[in-house]
Amino acid sequence: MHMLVRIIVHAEDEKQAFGKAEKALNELTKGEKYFDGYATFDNEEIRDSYVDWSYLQPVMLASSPNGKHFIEMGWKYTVEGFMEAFEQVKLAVQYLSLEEIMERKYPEGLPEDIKKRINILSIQVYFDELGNQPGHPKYLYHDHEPILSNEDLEFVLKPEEGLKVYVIPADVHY
Amino acid sequence: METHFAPHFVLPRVIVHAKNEEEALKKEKEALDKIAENTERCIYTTFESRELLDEWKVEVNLPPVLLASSFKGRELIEEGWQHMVKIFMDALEKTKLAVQYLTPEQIMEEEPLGNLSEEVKAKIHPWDIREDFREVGGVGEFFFKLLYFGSRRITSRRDLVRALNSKEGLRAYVIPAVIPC
Repeated sequence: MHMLVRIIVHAEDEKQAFGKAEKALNELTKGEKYFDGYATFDNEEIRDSYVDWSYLQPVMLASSPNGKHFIEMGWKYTVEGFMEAFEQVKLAVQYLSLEEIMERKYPEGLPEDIKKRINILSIQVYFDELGNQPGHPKYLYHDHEPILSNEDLEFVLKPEEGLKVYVIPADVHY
Repeated sequence: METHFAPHFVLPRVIVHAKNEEEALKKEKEALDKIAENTERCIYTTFESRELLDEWKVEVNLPPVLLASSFKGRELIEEGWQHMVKIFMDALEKTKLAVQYLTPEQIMEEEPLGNLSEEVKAKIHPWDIREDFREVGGVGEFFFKLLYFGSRRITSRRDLVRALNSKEGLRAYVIPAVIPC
């Protein structure tokens, strides 16, 4: 599956920012541990495939209207992903045993309406998604570190002295 | 049961299907290169040589390769499995408490636990909760990574049974390794 991540970096200029983002993306795709591969928006094909995001540039200032909106949406998706995983985990710990979670199977006699609410085949993935490592559904990164909280986001948006804050969009596959 | 754990080290047990011990060790090296890269440690040793083991002061001594069906092989695999289950159980217990007592916002922002009972506070820590979720998710930092089939982690009994059922003409071997953590 594909998702659109935002790499936020502190840099002197666009060129340096893009280089830093590439380094971060290489780290995030290393060994296919978190993502299998990436493409940045200097790739025309990628840019054209994201029709809803036609305003995106390969590098944007985080404080520009487009950069700001792009980051805000990234945080919104991150929170939505967290909430969805949280609900699944809540159901899992309420209705499933350790073995049932590990083996991805419903307990005998679990009512159908509850079964329908639990995505059993992906149940461990939801625990994983609440974790602090990179990967889906974390849409925002400070270099290669996932931005996990509002506090992290506020911190990264404060530029270091002499540097500007940039956001680089990238399509990643997982 | 004798325990094969060493402080500050993970002892992954890699199961491979091979014609003989020599092929098993070769396959295992390919798998371990990938495992070490994925665990971001990039360094490991097997029990073929004691050079690094002695340098790291690892006192555990094991044969470099064992048939998975041998007594010692079965013991090594079962011990890894039991240890994984324990780690999984502990983490699951903490995640249960977390979703029971905390809001999603409190977990995300790693907020202090406020007026929860001392009993709950002793069990969960706001900074560690997301790490516990990760363990249950099967992507924890170290301890859930004790059993592999090739370079793939074994995270369920079903995975383990599959790893132990070797194809015709091949045998299942288990190869212990050491990765510093």
